[in-house]
Amino acid sequence: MLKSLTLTTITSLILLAGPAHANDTARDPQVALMAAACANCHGTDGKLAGSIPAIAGRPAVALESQLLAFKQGEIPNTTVMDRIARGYTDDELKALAHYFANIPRN
Amino acid sequence: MSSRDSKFPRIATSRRDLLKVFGAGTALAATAGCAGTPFISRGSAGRVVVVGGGFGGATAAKYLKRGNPALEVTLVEPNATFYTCPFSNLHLAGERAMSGIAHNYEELKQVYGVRVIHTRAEDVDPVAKTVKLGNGNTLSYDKLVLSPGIDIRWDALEGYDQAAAEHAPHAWQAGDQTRLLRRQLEAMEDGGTFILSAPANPFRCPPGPYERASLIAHYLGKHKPRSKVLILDAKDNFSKQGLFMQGWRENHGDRIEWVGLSGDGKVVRVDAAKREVVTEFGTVHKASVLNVVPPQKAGLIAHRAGVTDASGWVPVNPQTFESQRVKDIYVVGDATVAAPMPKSGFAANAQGKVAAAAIVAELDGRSLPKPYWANTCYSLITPDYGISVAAVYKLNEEGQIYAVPGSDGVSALDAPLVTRRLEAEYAVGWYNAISQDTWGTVL
Amino acid sequence: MGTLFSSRFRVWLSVLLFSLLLTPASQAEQAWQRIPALEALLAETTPLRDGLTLDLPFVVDDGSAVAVGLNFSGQLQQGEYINTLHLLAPGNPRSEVMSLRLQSPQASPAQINTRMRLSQSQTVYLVAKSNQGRSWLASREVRVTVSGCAVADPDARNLVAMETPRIALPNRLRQGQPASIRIMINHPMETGLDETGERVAEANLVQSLTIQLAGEPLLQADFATGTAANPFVQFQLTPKESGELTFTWRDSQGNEVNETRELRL
Ligand SMILES: Cc1cc2nc3c(=O)[nH]c(=O)nc-3n(C[C@H](O)[C@H](O)[C@H](O)COP(=O)(O)OP(=O)(O)OC[C@H]3O[C@@H](n4cnc5c(N)ncnc54)[C@H](O)[C@@H]3O)c2cc1C
Repeated sequence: MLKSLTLTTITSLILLAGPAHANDTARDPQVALMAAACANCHGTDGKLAGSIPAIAGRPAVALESQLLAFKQGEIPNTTVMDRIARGYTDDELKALAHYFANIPRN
Repeated sequence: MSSRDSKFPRIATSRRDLLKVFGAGTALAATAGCAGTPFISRGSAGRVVVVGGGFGGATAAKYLKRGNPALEVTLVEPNATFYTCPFSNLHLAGERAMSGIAHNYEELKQVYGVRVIHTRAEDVDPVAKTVKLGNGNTLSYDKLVLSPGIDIRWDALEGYDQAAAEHAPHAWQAGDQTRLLRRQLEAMEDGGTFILSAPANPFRCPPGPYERASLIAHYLGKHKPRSKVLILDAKDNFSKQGLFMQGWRENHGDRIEWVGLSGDGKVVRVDAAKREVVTEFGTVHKASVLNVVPPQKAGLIAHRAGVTDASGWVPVNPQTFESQRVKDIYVVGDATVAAPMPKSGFAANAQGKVAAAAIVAELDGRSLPKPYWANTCYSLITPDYGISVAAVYKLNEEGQIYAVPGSDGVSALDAPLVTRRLEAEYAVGWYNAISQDTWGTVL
Repeated sequence: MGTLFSSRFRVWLSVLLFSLLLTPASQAEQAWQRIPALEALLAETTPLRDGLTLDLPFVVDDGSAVAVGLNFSGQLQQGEYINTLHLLAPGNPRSEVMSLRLQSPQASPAQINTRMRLSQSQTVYLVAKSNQGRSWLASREVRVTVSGCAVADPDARNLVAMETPRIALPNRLRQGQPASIRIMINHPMETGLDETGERVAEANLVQSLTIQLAGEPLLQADFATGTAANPFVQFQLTPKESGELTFTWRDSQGNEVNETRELRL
């Protein structure tokens, strides 16, 4: 399961190099507000790395497929992310993925 | 600067007074001309005063500046160092220094350009739109954010007043009270009983009393193994009850005893000097260390501003967290009635962001964004055994906050030990992240 | 600046006046007539409002045991006294919560406390009736955020019968001085209903608590599905003389529990 996920991640990375419509989502205050709640565990702009990983600057497709996998309960030993992911529609998860993908990690 | 810090103006209390002060002509002309348009001081995108530099207030100040750096944001907070209640239970257990729960306002000042004034807000004039400060100055605002947290209801539990809290600490606001309770636990004899009296809902941090009992049991198990923990509760149900009870059995054997409302657990009288409590049906319990978590209400400044209702808490418009009673005053955090969101630091932070986004949009003349909130409350049963409750919140069609079905829930009751260990690690990760997000602290 | 001052002030004032006009009482005034249980109780009478209060939290986190205060302090006529109080939650699957019969002037209609169930947000009603046929109505809107059904008391499951009666009398009682008495018995108060009010099992309820003082009836509480588990009653007794207090609980299985306490002035 995890392996196949990584594989899709890498493929999508290659396919979708570069932030396409990056800045629209990044500047949209609506998405920014939705994304702000993520900072409580992932740091401001999703940049803090620790026992909870940073999410800024990761490829949008990877983030999106991981969020969807959390939502579907496909990732074993999940603690809270399955619950959190179920709080958003698929479109909202996609918007969140794009938002964080377009934030440079520093 | 001087215009903002000017002395408190005379407050006109009636319409007649207003006419006297400004002249009938001006007042009438103005009513027509200004109605509906937000008033913004010249030379700035708007002046926002934030009262309280805790989870809700510090977050609001930061996200106001992130939303629009041209706003003049002033944060009023008496203390230069803020100690969090989250992880203060680890300090009580001897597992974390006070410096590990200490935060300051340097990032807000230096990175975000927030003006921070270390004094109390004493009063709010919602008509003149001014805040009177403890240092004698007055601030004018276009928008005011209050995040004062809780005050103890000193009149609600017989025998429990401010003097009593020096003998039987509440430690429900972190700082000196936390240190006092820690000293008492260190001085406690082996074989003694630690008693925690838990209040009825609503109160700050629903799982907090049970996490505290857990971590103190952990400390006693290591250092004073013949000692006991007794929780006397004014409720029959508490947050994450099944998980706590399971965790207690697995980690603390029968060290922790919990007595609920129907078992005569409700404390009705406290004798702090004797460290005794009396329950509803007359049972007297004597403690070696007595921790009273008393009934609470919104912080005093909310009452002064006239935003509280008969419950002692602040009803807000959920979309913006603007007060239902007074325009242009936004209230976030524990002081509000935001149920089903709990009174948690996580929720206060999320609400601070919603209020900030609403204020930025309004002062900019843009339409309000749709609000989103989330919450995850971790509780530690030992430093290596964690459980959680989480939810994502949205607005429903009636404009009320609801937890999105499927997102709200607690850790699995049958989860393996590795999951509990992982959740304990994530609890630390969460603490680091929210500290960074709120105060910029790098732990 | 002056201009804004006054316009803001007017907005503020109108908000204030508006909220004063919209008191829950005036809304409830029309609403109760559409509720059959209340209509039946108040048949033919126009209930008074002054003097009867229902004290409930505005927002309830856990609807399984909500503390509720009933208080009558209204004007009574010569020889008139309050003899019944009815607590109703029409938003519950069954609206009955509890009825109290005050059978002696020594049992006061002031400062009564109990615990009730609320399955959802709703308006709760309290009716008081006097021996002269007058009635009073009080109501209170409550928002419930977690349904009482969703939060089960894990201990209650194991309980099937009445257990551990508890009675608390004040240490010192004086003639003619009101004293608060608390009474509770452990019992699950199994409604046998699902969330929709459909019967799925047999009900198992404590049906009544009767209290006598020196052989004379003092108070009777009739419990119902809306009474919280572990029925709790607190009321004020203004004793005339010393005597024996007897407490009798009866449940729907035909069981009875008796307790006595010596009341010494
Ligand atoms: C033991 C315990 C454990 C907890 N654990 C967790 C946890 O694990 N996770 C979690 O999410 N939450 C937890 N909480 C809850 C959390 O502490 C609160 O929900 C949070 O602090 C609320 O934020 P706030 O901004 O409303 O208030 P606070 O954070 O208390 O901030 C209020 C601030 O306002 C200031 N203030 C008050 N009045 C004035 C005035 N008149 N003028 C100027 N400043 C003023 C105060 O000095 C204070 O700094 C815990 C609480 C306790 C007690």
